[in-house]
Amino acid sequence: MKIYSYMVKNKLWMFAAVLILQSFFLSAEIFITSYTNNIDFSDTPSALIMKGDNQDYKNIDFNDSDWNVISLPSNWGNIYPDYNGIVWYRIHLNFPKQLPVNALGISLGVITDTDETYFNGVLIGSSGTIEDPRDAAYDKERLYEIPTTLIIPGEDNVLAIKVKGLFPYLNGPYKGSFEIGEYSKLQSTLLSVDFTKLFFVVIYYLVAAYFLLFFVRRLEEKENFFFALFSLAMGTYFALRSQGKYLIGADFFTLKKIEYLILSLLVPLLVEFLLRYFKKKHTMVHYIYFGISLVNFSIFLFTNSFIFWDTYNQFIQLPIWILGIILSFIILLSNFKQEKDARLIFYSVVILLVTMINDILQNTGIYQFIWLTSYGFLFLVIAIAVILSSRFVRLNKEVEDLNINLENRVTKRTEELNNTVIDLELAKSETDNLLKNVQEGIFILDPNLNIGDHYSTMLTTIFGNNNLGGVNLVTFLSEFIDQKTAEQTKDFLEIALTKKLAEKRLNMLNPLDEIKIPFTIDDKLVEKFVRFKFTRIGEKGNYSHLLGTVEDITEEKLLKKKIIESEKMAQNEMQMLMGILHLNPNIVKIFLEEVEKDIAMVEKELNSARFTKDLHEVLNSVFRSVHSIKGNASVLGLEMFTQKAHKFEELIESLLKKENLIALDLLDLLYSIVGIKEALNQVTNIMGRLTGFHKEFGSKNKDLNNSDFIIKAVTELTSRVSKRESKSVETIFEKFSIPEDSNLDISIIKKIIIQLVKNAVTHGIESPEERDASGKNRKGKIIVSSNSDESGFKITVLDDGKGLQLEALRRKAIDQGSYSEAELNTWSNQKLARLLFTKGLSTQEETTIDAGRGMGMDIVRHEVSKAGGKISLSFIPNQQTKFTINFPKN
Amino acid sequence: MKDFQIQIFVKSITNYFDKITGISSETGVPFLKEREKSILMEYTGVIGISGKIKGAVYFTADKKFLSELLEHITPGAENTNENLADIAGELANTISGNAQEILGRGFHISVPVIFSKSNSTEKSSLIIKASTFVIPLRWKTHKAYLAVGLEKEV
Amino acid sequence: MKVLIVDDSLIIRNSIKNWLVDLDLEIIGTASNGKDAVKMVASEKPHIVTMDITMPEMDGLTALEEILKIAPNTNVIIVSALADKDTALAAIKKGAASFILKPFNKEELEEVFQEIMEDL
Repeated sequence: MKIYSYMVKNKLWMFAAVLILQSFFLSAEIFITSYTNNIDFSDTPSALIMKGDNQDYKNIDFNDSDWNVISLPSNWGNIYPDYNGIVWYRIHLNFPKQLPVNALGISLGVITDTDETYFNGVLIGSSGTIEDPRDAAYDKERLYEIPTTLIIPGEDNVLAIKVKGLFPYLNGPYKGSFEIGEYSKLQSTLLSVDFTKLFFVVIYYLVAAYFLLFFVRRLEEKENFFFALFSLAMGTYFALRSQGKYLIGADFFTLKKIEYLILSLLVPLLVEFLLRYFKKKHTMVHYIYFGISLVNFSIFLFTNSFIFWDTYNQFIQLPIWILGIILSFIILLSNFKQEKDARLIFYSVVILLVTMINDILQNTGIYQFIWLTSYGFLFLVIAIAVILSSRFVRLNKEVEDLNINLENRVTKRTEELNNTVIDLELAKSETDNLLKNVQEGIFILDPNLNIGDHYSTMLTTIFGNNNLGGVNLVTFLSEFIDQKTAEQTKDFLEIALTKKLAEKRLNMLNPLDEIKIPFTIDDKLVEKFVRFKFTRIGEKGNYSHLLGTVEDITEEKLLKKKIIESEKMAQNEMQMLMGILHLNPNIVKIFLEEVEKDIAMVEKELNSARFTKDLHEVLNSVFRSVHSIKGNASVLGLEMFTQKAHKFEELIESLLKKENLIALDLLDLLYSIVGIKEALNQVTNIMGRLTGFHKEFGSKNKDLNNSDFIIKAVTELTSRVSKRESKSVETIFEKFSIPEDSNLDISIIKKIIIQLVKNAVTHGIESPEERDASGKNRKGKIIVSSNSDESGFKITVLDDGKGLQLEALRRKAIDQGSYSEAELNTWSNQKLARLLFTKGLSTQEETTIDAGRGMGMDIVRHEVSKAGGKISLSFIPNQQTKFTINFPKN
Repeated sequence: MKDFQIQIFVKSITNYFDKITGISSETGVPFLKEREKSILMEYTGVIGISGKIKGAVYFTADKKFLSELLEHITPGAENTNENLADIAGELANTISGNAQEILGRGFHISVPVIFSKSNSTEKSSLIIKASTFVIPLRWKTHKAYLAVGLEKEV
Repeated sequence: MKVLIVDDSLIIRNSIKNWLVDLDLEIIGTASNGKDAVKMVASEKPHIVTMDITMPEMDGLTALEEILKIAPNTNVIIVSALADKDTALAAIKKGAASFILKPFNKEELEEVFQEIMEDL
């Protein structure tokens, strides 16, 4: 293939080669035809010719002296024009005495038309059938063997040829060599001439086959088909022009007809080929030409006369051919400039034309030269063959290149794609990784608010659901949020998708800022808080999607809560601290101890109650302790304790009032106890932290566990309570002191005095206006004094208030239903006065923090009796009230 | 746990007694368990609570209590350790079941653990940091305690 | 760009007017209730309207509806209370362009306006 490609690349060399080959064969033909043989008949024997038919003309001793002389080969039309009857030829031959060993033969060239050849009167051969016009032989080369027995050596021998003419214008042995020689050698000469023709045939057929194959491979290139046909036709034509056709033994007439038919197709095929090769449009002119060619063809098909065919061929077919050639020229010339191929084919066709003209001229007998048309055609065919092949090769090469290129590109592309796939896979795995590990739930919402199929693993973890793809977010969240929030969410998301709101502003409207959802960790159910955030994806105002993130803000919230709580606690602590700071730490210490005691008392009370039926007693007892706590706390200004204690008191009261009270109802008390204990802890903590600042804290300074403490406490209480009551009161301590060696419980003393003073401020001292009205000093006065002697310890609390309101007491008692009016009417003032000490009785209208429950005095009595003392009171209505407590010595 | 829940709780136990035995039980005055003192009696059933609030509920009773109860439930049954523990377990289960109902979603109730006083090792695990509310129960003169110890609500 | 300020409080109306000086705006008027607001929108066709959501005689949301009916391209900025996010949401749904929560300062007001002016 390489050599071939090389060859076709150099087309000119191809042509040169072909030309050389052709000339070689041409010369070979010439050379072969002039091959001489043993017997030398250097002169062309002259022959005697006679018109008409007589069988005697064959005899040796026939008198042919009046016959005309003619040199052979020649056309008898020169002597007998327009005569195609029978003509006899007689040639006198002399043979040498010594005859060659091998058989002799005589070659007569081509005779038109049929002949019978006699040697010395004996028929040695014939061609065609004289009587049968169909069985012609006008292009057959005659070669007959002369039997040696017939030869008379050394004497006159006569060769007589009877010829039946055909064409009006051409008959007799007009072409070829006329010679006698060794039969076998003459035969081989003839065959070698034929050889070249057969060579052409083979070439044509090969070319035809080749291009048919081309055509089969590339069906769209129809030019290959037509060229194949052309070459096939050429091949067949030359096969029919060879002497070999006589060997087949087929009917001469049929073969001749085929010959002419093929001839009629040649140029049209060439034209069609050119049209196709140069991709020219079939115009009207072409169609006319093909029409003419078809007619041409039909004429040969439907006529049956050699003469007609021959004449027609010369005078009509040839011009039609020339017409075809001209068309071919036109096709070629239109592409002349652009295509090398056109130029080459053009030149080949020119050469063909030249050969054809040569042959035409030879036909007319102007001169005698070689018949060149066949070579012209061969040249053309080879030229075209080469062009087509080279194109094929080039195309093939292009295809191959393309293939290689394509292969390369495909390989490259595959590599690229592989890389892209790897990149994509990497990206995907990155994304997957991201989605798997990111600490927030991430998802995409489409315009229908449905969750996309790809979301982060955390989302699954948060909601405990891994089938979130395609789920509508609002529907899904309805499980965790109320109807209103769900609707707001829907509105919000729609706004997010459709409105042009700025991101910051949009986020302000987010209703899902904080949602509570149940969460399972390690099999335990907890509640978590999550925050949803949404980011818009797409063009402003026409967003395609929303990117949602879910963040676990439980810690944050807890932290916030803790912060708030600790702030509150700090505040409380601060408050407490402030409350405590101004206090002597020892005082606080005592206070704490007392509270501890009190609360322990409460606990003990409940602890020992068990299944007792007297729940009220339990409650009262608890109340006392709580009241005491409250009192102490309010003295020191510790709001927290005061509040808690107050609430505790209210609780106890509500229980006391409750119908069908049962033990279990007292459960509530436990919470209050816990609350106070916690407050206790808090203060203790604070105190602990303050130890560094208060060096004295550690020492139990007995000095403080005395009157100073009480004085201070009471003074503070007075100012606070009076303020609360909107009264102006002052408490003075006159000769007040607690003896050192006293075994009295100072806290109890304190409690008592505090209660009494509180009571005085609340119940005793009137409002400034009242006092003014009654001519008293606006400022009320309470005097606390004490006296210690052998009999015991005495405390006096005197106020210049309105004294005991017996009337009010009485009314209250009636209201309470404890005593009837009638009964009460019988009571002495003293007795009435003692009502004051009855629990549940109070003449105050509302329950304020400091007084009015009627519990205070009861507690006082209780405490006094506990301490082993006695309490008495005296009063002057509208003037004063005096409480005296005696603690006997023991 | 809101106090009303504890009360419903307690009531459900007493109802149980009433239903099963026909003899009503009595609740006494609730009190705070003293930290150092143990109120555990011979048999105790504990159920743990986790979720919003963490803690435990336990029911403790003496042998007499349980054996009488046993007698009521399966007359003629032997007073074996196993049987008594079973009874304690039954009560604890009741508490447990009611607890889940009462507390609802958001709480996880553990499987009751029963132990007798001899298993002192278990006792230590019962030191509940939170304050424990104890409700005394009495049935047929026999005493038992229902104790609830929970951390504060978050 | 033409602006209409709608608020029943004179102080707020003036504050807004003063705070908008640095922006390239023309305050074409003020209104103290919804009805007047609608009237002024019809006659002046402002580009932007600030509208307090709680006003007598026609509440902000209704006024918003009316305004958008007669001049659908008006950018209405709803002024609502801090706790009133729901109303802001509803307003945006109804077609308000933006919102601002009371109390606000000059910077916040400018920000809202700039957001709107960007798109015009």
